[in-house]
Amino acid sequence: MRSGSYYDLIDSLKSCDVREQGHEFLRVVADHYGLAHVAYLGVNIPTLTDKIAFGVTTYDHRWVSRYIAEDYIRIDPVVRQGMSQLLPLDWSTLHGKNRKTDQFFIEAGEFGVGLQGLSFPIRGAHGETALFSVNTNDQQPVWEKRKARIMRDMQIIAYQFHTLVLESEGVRFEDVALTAREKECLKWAADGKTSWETGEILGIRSTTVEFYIEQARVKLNATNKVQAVAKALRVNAI
Amino acid sequence: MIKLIQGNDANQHPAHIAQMFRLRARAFRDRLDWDVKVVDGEERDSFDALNPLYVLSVDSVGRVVGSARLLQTTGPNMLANVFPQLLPSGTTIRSPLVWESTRFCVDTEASPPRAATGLSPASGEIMASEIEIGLEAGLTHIVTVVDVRMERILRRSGCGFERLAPAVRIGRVLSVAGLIEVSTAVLGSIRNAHRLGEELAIPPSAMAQNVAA
Repeated sequence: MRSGSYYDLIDSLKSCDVREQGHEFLRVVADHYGLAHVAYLGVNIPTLTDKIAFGVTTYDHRWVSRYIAEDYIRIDPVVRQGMSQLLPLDWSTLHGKNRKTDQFFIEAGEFGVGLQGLSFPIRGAHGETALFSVNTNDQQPVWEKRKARIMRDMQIIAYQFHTLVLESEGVRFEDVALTAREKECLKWAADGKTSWETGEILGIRSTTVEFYIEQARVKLNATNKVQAVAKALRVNAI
Repeated sequence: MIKLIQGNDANQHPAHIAQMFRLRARAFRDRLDWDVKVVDGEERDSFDALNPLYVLSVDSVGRVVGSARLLQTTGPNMLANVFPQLLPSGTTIRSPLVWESTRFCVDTEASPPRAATGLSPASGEIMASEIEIGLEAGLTHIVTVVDVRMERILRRSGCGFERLAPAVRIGRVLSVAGLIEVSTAVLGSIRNAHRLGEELAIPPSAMAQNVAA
């Protein structure tokens, strides 16, 4: 894969098998933009990340192994903060919060992860989420300038890469077709109403409400009512 | 003063978040009589559960006097999921460079239009903030759905709203989807219309603590 102009980069994405060539593509991105590392992390993608997060990175494989072995995804502040926000996340806002996360950043640094980092939260049409991160070892004024310069391109590349992952991995989204009543009952449950209260509101028995919620739970493939509500919101079924 | 609240941070600002939802109830149900759901005096919908970026205008005594929320168009959003009829059939706006702004409202008693501009300062602050956020995040546009009354206000406010399709009646409300360009020109035009200064409306910087002034 040749490096080259920005458009060549994007074009090369279209014909890339993410497991075979994703790593190499990200390396090209890193080199083109003067970055130490680039990493994609699929966090909440049906069928793909059900058991484990899906990552494609330029990181040293020893860091990846360590990250998996120590289950760092649970404490990684970049993932925890990044997944809940819209704005690109500058890693410097996460420093100095507590000893554990500072230790995590130090250890990452030992494996070559850059000190300065920026993570792009990705939200897909079906409620799936991922995180695209870049990092460098720039000193501060250089980092601010680089951030501004790469911002737009990275937003595009992040999303394009995410789309590529979905295609390349054959991720399918089942469109969950909830009936009007199922949606109503879930919406009131999302508002914190009990089945009895929902029944009062809709003029039906509470057992009927529970019936509709159970129907929805099955369609959403959720383990319980709370999960059903959360999942319905996330995939925007309600 | 602008306050940005996103994701997990909402838990750290419960009072302002609650004020925002109550302001939304007053603005959309009480004043505009829209078909929105209000529970315990707060207006919320399913998109509030998706960790939007909330833009709040807070006055000198800490009251929320205006608010809006931003969502990515790549993910679930109102135009794609609730009002697709506002775009030509079969088209969607789905781009990492376009975010959607919804639930824009201002407490016009607490932040009334100024005589000099005819516009509310809180309104201008929020509009300017959205452009500043867009510039920082590398966006090209903000897309928004408004009623035709708000459309006129956006134009007078210097936003340069560009319709994506003809207006469509949704319930009782004649609504229209349109784009606002994210650019320093539009930012300047909003600041001029509201007689805002050159300083950033949003906290410096929304994305990092360490920014040289």
